[in-house]
Amino acid sequence: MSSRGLLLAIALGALLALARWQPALAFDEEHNFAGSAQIDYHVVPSEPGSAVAPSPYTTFQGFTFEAALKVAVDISEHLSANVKACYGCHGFEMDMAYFDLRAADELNLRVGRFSPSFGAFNLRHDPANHMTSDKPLPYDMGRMLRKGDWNNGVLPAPFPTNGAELDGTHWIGNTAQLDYAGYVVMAFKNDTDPDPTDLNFQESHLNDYLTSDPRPAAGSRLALTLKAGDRADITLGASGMFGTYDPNDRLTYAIVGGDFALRVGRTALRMEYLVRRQQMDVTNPDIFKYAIAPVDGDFFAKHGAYAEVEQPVTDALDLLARADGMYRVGNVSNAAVGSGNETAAYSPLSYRSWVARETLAIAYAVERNLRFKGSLELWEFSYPDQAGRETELSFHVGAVGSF
Amino acid sequence: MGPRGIAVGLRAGLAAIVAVAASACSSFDPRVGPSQESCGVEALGATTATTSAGYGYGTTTSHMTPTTCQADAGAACDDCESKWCCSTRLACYEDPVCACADHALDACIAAAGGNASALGACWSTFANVGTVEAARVACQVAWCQQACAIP
Repeated sequence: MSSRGLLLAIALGALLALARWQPALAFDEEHNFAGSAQIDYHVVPSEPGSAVAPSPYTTFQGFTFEAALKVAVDISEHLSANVKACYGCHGFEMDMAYFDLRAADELNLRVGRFSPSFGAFNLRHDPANHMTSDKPLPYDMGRMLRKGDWNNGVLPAPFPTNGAELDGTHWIGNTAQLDYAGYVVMAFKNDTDPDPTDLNFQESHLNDYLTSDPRPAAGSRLALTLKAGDRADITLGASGMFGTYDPNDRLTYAIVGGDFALRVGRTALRMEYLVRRQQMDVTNPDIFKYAIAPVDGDFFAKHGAYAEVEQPVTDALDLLARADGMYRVGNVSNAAVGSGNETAAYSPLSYRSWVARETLAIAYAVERNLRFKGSLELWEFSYPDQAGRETELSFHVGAVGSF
Repeated sequence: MGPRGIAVGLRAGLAAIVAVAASACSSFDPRVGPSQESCGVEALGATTATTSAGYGYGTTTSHMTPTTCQADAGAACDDCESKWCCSTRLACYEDPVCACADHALDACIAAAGGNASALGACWSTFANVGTVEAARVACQVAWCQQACAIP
């Protein structure tokens, strides 16, 4: 049986299984309403951009605000719906709008708009669910310093898109839990640049929920959690995603990642690594910083990783230490993403560039659902900025509430 | 162990993971040619200007298209190419990538020392750099193969 036939058989089997059960005769529909909001003030004393007008290509400073409202409805024993609207740096967005059709714990079909299962941080991307004001660098969506140089993280989170996902959880005794997910979704895009060299994340935002790229992206995730009583558990996960991002479906991207989490008592250690292999259109060598190598010269790789330790000190006070970074290797386009390949200036990145950051963060809960956050971040870059700095310092002060 | 020690330890661990992952899979290890800024050849008609574009980058170079072909006196290949392949020749010198590749071609031909096999490799490498280079070689082969000693 060919792989396509096997996939068809699996899909048909899943649909038959979903169709087997009888709907419950009586079910009280349940509604849950939740929300969160974070206000954050970012100070970068060393950033040259602080002396000029704010630019989307340098660093966001000052106040930023994120808010989200979510409604979850259990329509029947097997059907539920989730809708989440959020407001962030680029206005209002639909973060979720999907239905879950659940046959069993092991088999759930999700259709609509959602962030497909990838990595461990995806579940904690809401600012109310993590102790720092910003996200780890591999998942950064514009809060990092010199974001224009890097075009954000490896996989900026959240990454809602339209499609369908089959997922489930299987318990192996009382000590092991196996989670899986497989999905086909609308791929990332770059329809703006004639010769695309990177994903244009702006095109995944509102007003661009349609795509001219007909081929969907596909991906999967597998995670195993082992529990040692109530006090400790350990999780290992692996994720992958593959798609094309140009209108002609010629240029591919592949993202793979692994994650590890260990919880002992109230202490949590988390580590994640992911890498994106991004094919570039090299038909116009003029926009590149380096000549195109005849072999393996049409792509770059962007690695990212973070490790963090979260330690509650009291019921109200949490401390977090985090180290994260990114490493980019490959040719560099001198044309900013979304510029239409206008080479206005040379990129400061080189064939091999990296950024590393160390963060010390504190979170203090004044009420159960209101927490003040503060963090100190030390940045190191492999290249100097216009002022010659390779090291920078930044501070976050903020508050986050949830209900 | 203080916070700085923890951070250093975490960074070392992450660097090790990244290094192992990067070296383990060659499909994640791209290659590049010479830097357009460092090969020492300035593209024909280039003028240098400073920009303060919002991208935050530094100095940029803009190009003006030359309108004439000027052959180097006494060089048979240059004379022939200027006479019969003016447009592809100028297109190469206007293109910083091609200008760098041409610089490398000259060095390669000098190093080949008349060895036909080595010369063929030099021209093949040059032609494979890109469409501008391939067009230039195609014209030279058509009109100036003998004058340029292309095997």
